[in-house]
Amino acid sequence: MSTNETTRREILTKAGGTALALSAAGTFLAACGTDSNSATAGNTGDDGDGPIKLGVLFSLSGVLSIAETSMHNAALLAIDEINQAGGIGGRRIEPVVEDYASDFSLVVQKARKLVNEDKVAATVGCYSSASRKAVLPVYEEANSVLVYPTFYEGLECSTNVIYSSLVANQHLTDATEWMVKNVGRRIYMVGSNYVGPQTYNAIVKELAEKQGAEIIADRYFPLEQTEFGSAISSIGAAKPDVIWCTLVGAGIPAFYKQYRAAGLDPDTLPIFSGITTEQELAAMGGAVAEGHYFPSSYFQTMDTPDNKKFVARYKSKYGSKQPTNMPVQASYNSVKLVAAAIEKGGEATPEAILSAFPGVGAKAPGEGTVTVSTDNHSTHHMYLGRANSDALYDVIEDFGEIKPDPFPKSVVPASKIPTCPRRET
Amino acid sequence: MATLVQILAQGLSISAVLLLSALGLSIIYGVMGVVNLAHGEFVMLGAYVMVLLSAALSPWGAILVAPVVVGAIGLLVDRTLIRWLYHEPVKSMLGTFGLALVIRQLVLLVEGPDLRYVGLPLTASIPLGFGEELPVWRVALIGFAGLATVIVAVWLIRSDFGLRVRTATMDSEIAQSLGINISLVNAASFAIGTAAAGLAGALIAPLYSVYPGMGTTYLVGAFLVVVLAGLGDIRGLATWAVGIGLVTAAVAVPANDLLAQVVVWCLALAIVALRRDSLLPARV
Repeated sequence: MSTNETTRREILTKAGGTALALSAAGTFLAACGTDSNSATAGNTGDDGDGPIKLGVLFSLSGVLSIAETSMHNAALLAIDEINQAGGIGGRRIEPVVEDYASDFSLVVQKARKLVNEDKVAATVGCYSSASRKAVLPVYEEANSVLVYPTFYEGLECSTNVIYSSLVANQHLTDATEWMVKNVGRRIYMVGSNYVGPQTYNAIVKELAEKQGAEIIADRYFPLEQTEFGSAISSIGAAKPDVIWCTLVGAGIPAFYKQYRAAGLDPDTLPIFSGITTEQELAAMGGAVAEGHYFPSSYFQTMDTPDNKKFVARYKSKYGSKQPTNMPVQASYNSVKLVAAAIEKGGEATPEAILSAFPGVGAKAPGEGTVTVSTDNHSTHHMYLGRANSDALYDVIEDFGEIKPDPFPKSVVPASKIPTCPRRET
Repeated sequence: MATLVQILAQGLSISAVLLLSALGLSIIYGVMGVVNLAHGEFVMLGAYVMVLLSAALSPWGAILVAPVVVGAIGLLVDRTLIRWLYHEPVKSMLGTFGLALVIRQLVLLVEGPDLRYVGLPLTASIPLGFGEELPVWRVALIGFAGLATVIVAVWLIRSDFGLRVRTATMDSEIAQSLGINISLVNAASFAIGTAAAGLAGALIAPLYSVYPGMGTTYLVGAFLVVVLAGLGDIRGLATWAVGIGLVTAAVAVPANDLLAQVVVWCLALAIVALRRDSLLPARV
């Protein structure tokens, strides 16, 4: 949420403003809702018997539910599959589902409940960096485990978080090089106005300029904005070679639709996004989507037997119109990684899982084996996708396996690079 | 020159969306003194009618059906909930705030949280010269917004029913003693106000994003216009919508949208501070 939203609301009539603020309060109570209550730091007294409790913490309502509902679904699918195959060492996984309703103070309460009351062995959950940062103190205090299943900007390596999807260097390095080499040197940047997109854009700027590219504009929008006419008008006038886009959330289909409607042609001026997955493509339709790019470790179209089965199972459970995408695959694979860590450590307690995690791997659909590294991040195989007329990405380039680097030297001075993992709070 | 044309085109396009979403909000406040915080949700319902029916009926069919469906839902809501809240601004805010949550969550439960697809009814774009093109649908939005405003204004000023509505707005007790069926006037006004929101949603859907939480954005914009025009003043709506649209574009085209928001809201704050009385319901 941007501060502009707050300003807007303050200006409304006293009456209207108050009620609107009420409506927004849920989403505004941001990451400041830190943990002050004395949470009992007692861990699970795992009896080595009975079901293994796994927290599943996503938003099923509110603005984040657009992405998080599908991640929640993917985690439950993985749990089902493990249970159907006989569980972990004969023990079933019991999902403990919590919905934090896109509310960054509620997420803290829900995390506390999972860790302290339910005494889950681990939690798979959170999507935006704001929610992860909000629950960090809960997991660090109780020495529990959060598996964070989506791509993020980096600059963090908590002892209690396993970052199972991409960090910025994996996501952006080869893609930026490819973009400058194959599409063009004059880059117009757009993004949502908060830390994630701004960090992504700063990293791409650094990488692109090293290749001799020029950033001709860097424009940000309030997170909830869906009107992009003015920006698109100025893009047309600036005549760039390529758009680098880190718009997040509901604005994405609006931007692409308005872009195409204004006659901008992806064949001559494509959008490279760090955010736009198959889910947003479905909402804009193939005619609008075709020709735009997205680098990722996973695409629905990946032509491997395990991915075909994964896509078929996901669609038969959640509907044929539901696309799979990178966060869906990462969320699914996060459950598999937790299972592998429990098998390796031989015990379903947070301590055992945490110490077992480095080196643990799981074969992710389409992508191949994902391995957790000693800095609690994970190695990934990277690809570049180009959208087709079915509103899906075709894989057009294979960048190979890339190691995570949460504190890249290009962004962080050598003296400030910490030893990972570390306590963040 | 190029920049001027861009500002004019984008500004009017922004104005059209503001005006379409403000129209219903203004009618409902003007007639029955209800501050409808669920107005954005009625816009959202119109957008969902467009999503669900544009394939089956054709987009134009869906645009015609959306105000009918949403107006009918509005009528039902008026008879069951809103009629207890007439001329009670504070209670009406709490009531309609709750209503907004209920509608949003029902749509979430039935239709899911996903962003939804709506195709453009008209895909062409109009060259403005100097390599710039304006989507035809933006021009259509400007036309529809103007047309809807004229229809509502003529209806209020010229029709018998409009006369009764205006009488009821001035003093509902006197109007009642003159034999005007206040209950009918109110119910019809709420239905028409929500139908206008439904039409706005259907027209907006092809160029913007459709999801259960989309309403808030349009409620905020609509409130700004209605507050500046004076609550209940239909005639002022068009003027202020155009003014806000042009100021937004004049900053957003050469600079950016973040600065444009700051400028628009600072100006609005200054205007409201200078004319406190305009927050009260004026004439209709």
